[in-house]
Amino acid sequence: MRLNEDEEAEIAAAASVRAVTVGRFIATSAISAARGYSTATDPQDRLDRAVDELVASRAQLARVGNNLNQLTFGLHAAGYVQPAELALTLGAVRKAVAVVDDTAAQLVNGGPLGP
Amino acid sequence: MVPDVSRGNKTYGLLAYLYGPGRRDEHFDPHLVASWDGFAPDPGRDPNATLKQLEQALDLRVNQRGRRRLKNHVWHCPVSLDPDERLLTDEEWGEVARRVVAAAGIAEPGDPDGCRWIAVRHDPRHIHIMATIVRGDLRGARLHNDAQRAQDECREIEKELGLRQLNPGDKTAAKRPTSAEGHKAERLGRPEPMRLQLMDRVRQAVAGAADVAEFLGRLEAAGLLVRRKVGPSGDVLGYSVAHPDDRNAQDEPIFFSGSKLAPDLSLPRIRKRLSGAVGADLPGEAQVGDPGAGKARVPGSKAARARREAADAVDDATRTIEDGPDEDAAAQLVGAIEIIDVLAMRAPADTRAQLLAAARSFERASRSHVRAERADNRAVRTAARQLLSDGYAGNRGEDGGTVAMLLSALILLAIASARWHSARSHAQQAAAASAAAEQLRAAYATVAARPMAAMAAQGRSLPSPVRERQDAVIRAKLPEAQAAEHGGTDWDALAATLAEAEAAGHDPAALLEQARDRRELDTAESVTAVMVWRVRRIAKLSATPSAEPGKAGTRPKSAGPAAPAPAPRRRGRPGRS
Repeated sequence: MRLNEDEEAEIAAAASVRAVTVGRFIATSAISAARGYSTATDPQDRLDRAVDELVASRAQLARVGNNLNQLTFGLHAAGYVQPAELALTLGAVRKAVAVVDDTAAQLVNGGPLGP
Repeated sequence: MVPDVSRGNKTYGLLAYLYGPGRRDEHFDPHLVASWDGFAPDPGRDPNATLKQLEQALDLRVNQRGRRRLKNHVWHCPVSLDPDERLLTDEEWGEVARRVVAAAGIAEPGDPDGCRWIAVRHDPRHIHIMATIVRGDLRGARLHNDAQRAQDECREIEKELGLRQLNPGDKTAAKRPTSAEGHKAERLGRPEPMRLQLMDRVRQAVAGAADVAEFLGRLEAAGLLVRRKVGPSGDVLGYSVAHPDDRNAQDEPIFFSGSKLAPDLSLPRIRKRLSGAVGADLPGEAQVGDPGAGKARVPGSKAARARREAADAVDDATRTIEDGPDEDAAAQLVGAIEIIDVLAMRAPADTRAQLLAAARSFERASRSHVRAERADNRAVRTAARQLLSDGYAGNRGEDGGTVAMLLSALILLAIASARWHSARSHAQQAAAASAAAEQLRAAYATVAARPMAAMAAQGRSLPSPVRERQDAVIRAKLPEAQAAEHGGTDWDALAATLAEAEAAGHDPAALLEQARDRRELDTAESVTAVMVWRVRRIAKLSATPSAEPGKAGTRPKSAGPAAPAPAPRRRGRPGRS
């Protein structure tokens, strides 16, 4: 295979964005080209993107949860009785986080999804 | 606050330990104090959360990498407090954990792709930080030097939380026994792990050795199993030692290479140390003596004379440590540990333990990044060799007196090295040297009590004109000897010593002048005690108070006008200066 310097750098950059070796990247791209679908629909890529999204939603949920925690703490410090809804909401956040975690784990452990 | 970083490959295994009962049922209320986003499932507090869930969450990115696994993907770092420190709250511990993972490179604040980590507390005095080292972008975390960075951060945290500040290390310490070795020693009823004993034995075998062959021979003579690593050229490249009683499960002896015992005990380092020749022969009779005194004979046995010479060498070494270039000073420290080791080996049983403890402390002070490879420490090493070859000395009579003489010089050396190290921010070494000075003082107190008491008794029974003359000299020449010391044992002993020196034909004032020409005196606990031994050394007086003329002075004398009597000793009179 013959590449000029720019092309090589481009491929190396693309591979590093996906956190794979250059060789692995070239192999994946060649296979997806041979099978006739674009990299956007590459199973591994789609899986990684799905996991990233789940991780991002977990981060969002955690932020909400932490805010709720602080709210509870502040109310408590100010001498208010903790409203029952707050505890319920926190429980709901926790449950949501658990669901996200489970989904991500299933995605990852189930291997690449089909096209 | 001590972090202890290690790596492993079993996420669930570590979690099961952290949330389990512990090896001896010592875990209490395991729960999270912090985690990567503050919302990790906590099986300790949340009845719906399971260990499996926590494992899955921590391992998400590890599993996502699939077959491109990272080696030892579990990062584990217990952070513990000393038993006598104040307790930290969960919030404080959480902050500690966040700072340690940030410093180590696990997860920096604000980095969405940082590694996933948790901090579990199952004991009031420590937490366990645990992380998986695959980042959100599926790369491995950059963990170069992570343990050191965690240590440095803990030094900062100690300052901010007002905890005891530990001495930062410089990676020149000897390897400590592992916890497994500690457990084994406990199981077998040994007082301490074998590694420590082997380190002592190897250090003692180097002390005063002339060459590598002698060193290895002495190891074997000490009853150890020695394995030599021989290169194709036939040269010995390295060695390892084992205690015959220390066996593994297969009943094979457990060998430790020199460098696993302490960095300066590897064969190449020992070879470098031994490359400067030491006087391999026994000290001849004519070798003793110095220009000022012509061919004067020093009283006492060979062992006693070797101790006097060692004390002189130690005094010179102390001066080098105080004023010399760094490299020379470091060389003297290496020489000094050999003297302490030899002294411990040749000491009677009652002081051996104290001296061995001092040697163990000073061992740490003898190593820093200031290396002494070409510097000259032949004088001290030769003195160590002579001490070694001149056999055992008792604690009584002349022998005991000269041991006190040498210890008095070694204490000042230890203090000087503590100062030398702290001026160079070698915190651990400075602390070790101070500890060694303390232990040497304890040994000195054991050894010097008898001769000092005898001398003091002699000093109190001096005829009053003689006594007043000596008191005046001491007051004039030793202004730093505080009034508090006046009338104490040490002061009386010094008066007796000066009177004895005067009787032997010395000028007490000049002697005192010569003996106090050392800067380190202001650190001595009792200036007069130090002066007693120096004056006795310079004037070549017996190390124990003189008895009747013509008799060996091993008996403390209770009364009688001893001062005007001619100097004692059966082998003739000390020379005149």
